[in-house]
Amino acid sequence: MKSLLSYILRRCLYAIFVLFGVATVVFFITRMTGDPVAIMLPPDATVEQMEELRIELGMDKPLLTQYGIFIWDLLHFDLGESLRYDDSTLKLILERLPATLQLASTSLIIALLVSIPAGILSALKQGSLFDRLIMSFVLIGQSFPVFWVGILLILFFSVSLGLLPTGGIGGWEHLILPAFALGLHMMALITRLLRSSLIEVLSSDYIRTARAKGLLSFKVIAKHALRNSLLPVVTIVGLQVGALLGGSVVTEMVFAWPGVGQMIIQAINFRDFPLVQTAIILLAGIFVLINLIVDLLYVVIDPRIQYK
Amino acid sequence: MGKKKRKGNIGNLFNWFSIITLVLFIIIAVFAPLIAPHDPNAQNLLARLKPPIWAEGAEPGYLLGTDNLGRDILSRVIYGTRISILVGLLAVVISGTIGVFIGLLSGYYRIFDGFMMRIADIQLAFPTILLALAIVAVLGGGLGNLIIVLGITGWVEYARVIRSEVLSMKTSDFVVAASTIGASDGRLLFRHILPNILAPIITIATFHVAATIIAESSLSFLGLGVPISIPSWGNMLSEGQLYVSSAWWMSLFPGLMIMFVVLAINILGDYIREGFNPNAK
Repeated sequence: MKSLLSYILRRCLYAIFVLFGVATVVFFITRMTGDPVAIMLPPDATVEQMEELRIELGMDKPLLTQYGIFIWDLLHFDLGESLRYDDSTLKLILERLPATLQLASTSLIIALLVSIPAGILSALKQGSLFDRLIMSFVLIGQSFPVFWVGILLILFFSVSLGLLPTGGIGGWEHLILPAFALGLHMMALITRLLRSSLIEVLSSDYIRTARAKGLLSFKVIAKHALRNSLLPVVTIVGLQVGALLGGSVVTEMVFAWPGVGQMIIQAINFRDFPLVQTAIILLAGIFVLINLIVDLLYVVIDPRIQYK
Repeated sequence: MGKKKRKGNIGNLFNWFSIITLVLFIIIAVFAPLIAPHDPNAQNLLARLKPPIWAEGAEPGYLLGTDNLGRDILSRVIYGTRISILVGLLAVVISGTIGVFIGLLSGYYRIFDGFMMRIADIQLAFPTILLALAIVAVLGGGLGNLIIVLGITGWVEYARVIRSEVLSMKTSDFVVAASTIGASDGRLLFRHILPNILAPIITIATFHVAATIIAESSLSFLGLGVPISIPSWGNMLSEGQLYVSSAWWMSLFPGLMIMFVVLAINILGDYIREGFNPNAK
């Protein structure tokens, strides 16, 4: 029990360390050119305007002092003000976050709903026509860029058939196309992973033993095989959250979905770097948090793990 | 046996598709100026938004139609091949070099290991496209910057895999033997260990080319990749999206090209992986 607690504590501390690293990287990226003020202001800004903004953002101070202030503010959840909206960047991003999380979680659910049955059936019927069909879809699904899937879906379902809206947020009908476009890649990935992991488990000794004991085939698969073959799936889902959040930037632009991704692109075009900075730290933070949860979930789903 | 044979046939079909497609793409990229019927940037404002030749209202001479500025889609798609292959290959060379180097050092020297793997964890916390986006936004666009950014953001996977390979190989008999007869660290790493871990490097690099082509087109699609003066598939899709309801051909053809080249590379990657590791499924 003690080792379990210290495992959890260590994972949490490590997550904080990674977040700290993320913030540091973001800080130095925005200062990479030497003079961030020059990229924040339009090219025709006067020297006085530049000097004014520099003082306002504290960029007249030495770099290390700036970094110290940045980290100190971060610890107080003060991530600066947006240049465009004159408002707290954290507040602006948090307002947009629910839309992004809604999109990403719906994609995840769609991906799991399709890929888990497809992966299981494919593994059980290995080599069959169904299996080969699924594996071909997997290959193709992994090769579609997310934004092109989005454009094709709009072309087919919105422009040609007029069934679903081309973009924007609203009822569930607004969610279907973007969530599917965003989830397609993950769908393919999980199907493939679950299939190969289940095939491996099914040929292992303890499955043969379970079968030899006379357990029903269904019971063997559901209780013995599936549980173990889902482990790598959980890991990949955690790691793929990053891809999902990154993909949401593109998806939101295609479907005019008012989430964080759309805000990031707009902020970049408006040279609103404090906003970009906060958005990236926050999205990376979500990724770290979810992987922390996955790590802790392992304690529950895989009792073999040694906590050291 | 019968089942296996059938599976082999369809596998072969895929592999042939992959090889033929890739050879075709390379030929198109190299000989683009000879193949393209038009200058990819030549505008013909009298022939704007013309559909492909088989559709009603097409303009003769423009096989796949024209875009909003009357530029030939076919020629732009042909020239776009160059950008995708160029960015894909160069970025992968950069990532691979950094990643393999760090992986070798991390696996071999323990002091280096802890630090580098922490850095890898931090880098992994960023969605790749977001990190690339931020750096491009700060540094400014341009083809060179894009290649560098995609190159330096892709090293982690190489480093992790190479590290674990080195870790397990470090204690193998032939390395210990070479070390015993006095081989230097550099010699051990580059002459004995590296040649033995080329298989995973080549496998990762193959899939990485495909991922980089998608990343490049995504960034260009967002307007933060290849400058719009250069015809690239991502740029074409970015413009095409604005005309999605009136000119589907602007979006269809560049997307098809991305899909085919990525699909072909992924199939090649599977083939290489299975070839190197017959137990992989």
